[in-house]
Amino acid sequence: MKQQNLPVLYQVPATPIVMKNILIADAATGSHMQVTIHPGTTAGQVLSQAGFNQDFVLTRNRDGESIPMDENLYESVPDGAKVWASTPVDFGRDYLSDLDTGDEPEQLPEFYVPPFKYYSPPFAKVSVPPIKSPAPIIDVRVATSRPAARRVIRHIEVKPAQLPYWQEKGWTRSRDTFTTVYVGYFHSPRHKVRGEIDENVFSCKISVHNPPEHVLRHHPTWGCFHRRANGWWEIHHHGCPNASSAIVQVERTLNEAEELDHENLY
Amino acid sequence: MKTSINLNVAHCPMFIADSWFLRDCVTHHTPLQDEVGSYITGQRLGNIFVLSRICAVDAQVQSPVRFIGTTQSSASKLIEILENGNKLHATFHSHPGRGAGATNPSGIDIRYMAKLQERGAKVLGLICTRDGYVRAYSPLMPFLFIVQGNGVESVEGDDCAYKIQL
Repeated sequence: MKQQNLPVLYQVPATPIVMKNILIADAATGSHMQVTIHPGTTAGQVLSQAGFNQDFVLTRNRDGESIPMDENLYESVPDGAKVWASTPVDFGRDYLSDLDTGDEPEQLPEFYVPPFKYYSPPFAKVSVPPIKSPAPIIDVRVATSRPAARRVIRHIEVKPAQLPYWQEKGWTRSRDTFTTVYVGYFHSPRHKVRGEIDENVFSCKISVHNPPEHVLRHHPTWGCFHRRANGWWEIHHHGCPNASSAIVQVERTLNEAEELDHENLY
Repeated sequence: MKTSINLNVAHCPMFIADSWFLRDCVTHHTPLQDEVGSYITGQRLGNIFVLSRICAVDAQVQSPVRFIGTTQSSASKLIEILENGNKLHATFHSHPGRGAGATNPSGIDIRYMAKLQERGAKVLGLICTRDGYVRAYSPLMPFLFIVQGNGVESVEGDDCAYKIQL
């Protein structure tokens, strides 16, 4: 049979955006949510748009470590994958509870919620006395064990943020031949620290002005902070390919240091 | 003697534990002076939640006044509970000090519990001291807590606290 010459295609049709569907299981409630993600979507974006508190993290499976917030979830999980959202156990005493005076303090910091206003609403009273022996037997006619139902309660679509992180955070950028300089502030719950990032093709040079030494001193990476002139400090952070990732790293360090500082105080 | 409970009576989640289990919980959570925290699960029949199993969580931060579980261990235990067809029923942790007053939840305890309950989890908070006092608390969800068995008495003037004989 004679083979025919096929016409040559000069124009390649545009590739359509292929989205992925993943299932997020809330590990505390067992409820499921179907999420459609666009290319470039990170774990942090999925959690925030799915309505999870900032303390929640995503985990692939029972033995896996949590997925970093800035990880590109679209790249790292296959279509149809199931990931788990959970928050670590957190118990403890804060300093105002330790006073144990029973009186409401006059000036409360913003984060403090007096416990007595919370745990004893009228409906949350327990009025059933302990049952003495002989112990009762609960008479249940039908007690079939039912496997936990997998219910998809809602479906959302998560798109990656359009703005880079540095721009979202209000940093400004200026460029010269070899370097791009970013100027702005690192934010944490308790501090706002002026910073400057010199980004070149090889690395980022991160500088902060008058960082809270007494707080950062508790952090394991305090050794990476090096004093320079006029109140400026240089941070040797490895593995920051660009300004956005450098801002995320420094803000994370500040957050963690503040947490540690809080624990050391109380 | 057989007593029956009408399941429809419980309009709010009813949590049941026996005094033996609570005694085990107190022992498990007070080995040393540091706080210990864990998840509690068990059977569920409609709106009745039976507390029967301790799922210990590894500590990332542990001191006499603080317990933070590791992210991996917290997730792992919750997934294990779900994979076995159960759900999280309660959280349990110990407090320093003695007496019913020492079992009052702190702001951190309440915030953590509220975080779970805000998402619809029917979860009860339980706190114990090493001298055998146990308190149930819930920031957002109404609940009933029933303790069954011997060696338990309610604390006078405090509906949410019990004294377990160790």
